[in-house]
Amino acid sequence: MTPSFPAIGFCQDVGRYATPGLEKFVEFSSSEDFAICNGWELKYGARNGMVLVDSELRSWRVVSVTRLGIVPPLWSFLLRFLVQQAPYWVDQELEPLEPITLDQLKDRMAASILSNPDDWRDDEAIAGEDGPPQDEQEMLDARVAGVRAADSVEGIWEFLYCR
Amino acid sequence: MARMPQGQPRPVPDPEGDRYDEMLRQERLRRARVDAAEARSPPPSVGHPELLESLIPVWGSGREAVADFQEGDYAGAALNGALAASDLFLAGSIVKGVAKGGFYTVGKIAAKKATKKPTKTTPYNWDAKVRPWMGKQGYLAKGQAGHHWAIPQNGWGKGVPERIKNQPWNIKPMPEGPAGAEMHGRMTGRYKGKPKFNALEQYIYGTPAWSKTATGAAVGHPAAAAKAESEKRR
Repeated sequence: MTPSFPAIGFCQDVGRYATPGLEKFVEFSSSEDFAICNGWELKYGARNGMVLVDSELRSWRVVSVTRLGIVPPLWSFLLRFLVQQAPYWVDQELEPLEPITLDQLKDRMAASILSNPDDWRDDEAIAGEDGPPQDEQEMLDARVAGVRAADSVEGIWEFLYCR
Repeated sequence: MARMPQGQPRPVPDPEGDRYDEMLRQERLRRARVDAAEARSPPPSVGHPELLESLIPVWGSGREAVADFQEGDYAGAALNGALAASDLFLAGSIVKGVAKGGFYTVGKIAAKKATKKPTKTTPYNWDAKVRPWMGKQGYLAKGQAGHHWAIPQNGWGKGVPERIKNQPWNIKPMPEGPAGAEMHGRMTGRYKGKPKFNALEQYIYGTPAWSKTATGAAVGHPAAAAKAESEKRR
């Protein structure tokens, strides 16, 4: 059983500037997208322990990540290597978890959005560059409302990532 | 052997005397010429760089500063020393930027090519993709606003591709806390009753230090080179 996409991955905040215990989420638009991991993610183990929820609300935990090789072309890989974003094909061992409901997914995403305002704020909108200044909390609440209004994982994904 | 009576000198014929006096006169003239030449010539110097060499960051202005200093042109030495220091600052900023990632790239481009499937996502979206990445890399602290200083997000910047404008080079971190939010707000208009910044304030608060340094270097290097060239012609 393989995940269907788009999928959402819940992972811990990692890296030099991370807040321990903070949960974030990322999106994967396709299986190829999920099979690619950059050097930074590998270095800090961003995918280790990640909980993946696919478009049919099935759920897995990433148990291990194995680097397979570089993503061609070589010139592109080298350029990205210089800026610490070299892409690698990876093999990920997935452990099946219990499926979750759409509401459970929305709750988890809403909690993450509200606890990570820096990942979801539009600085220019708050500053009022294109209209009256917006309140940051209202902006986050609008994002959460959009997530809650979606009727599928794909609907959530489109709302957040396909603007 | 004849002896002189004591205390009574007597004249002695000196057939070489005139030639000796002439030799002394010539020697005095020669010494005077050497002294005059030494007074005119500048003190020893490393030498000024040529026009193209003077445009090389750090090296050109550094050598110019040393040469100016050795020749007693302290104002020129200070100017070129400042230019060399600004070059070093700029180089340091570039190194620091690259160390943090430098540019945001999307590894998924390769995936798109592999699948040949069009994707609806916006991989260089500011608030969903690039901003979180900048936080992870340490460009922006928690709660710190990032200002698109060269190419705005809105207005004329709307037509600029996100992959160009949503990059660290175009983001000026505002001060942390409410002061930063206010400063960011006043860049583009009135903010909570306070007036919009004028052009000078926008330049001071709204451009990164490396950009100001680069502007100074872009103006300073050709100016210093032109000054050195004009001094050479004199």
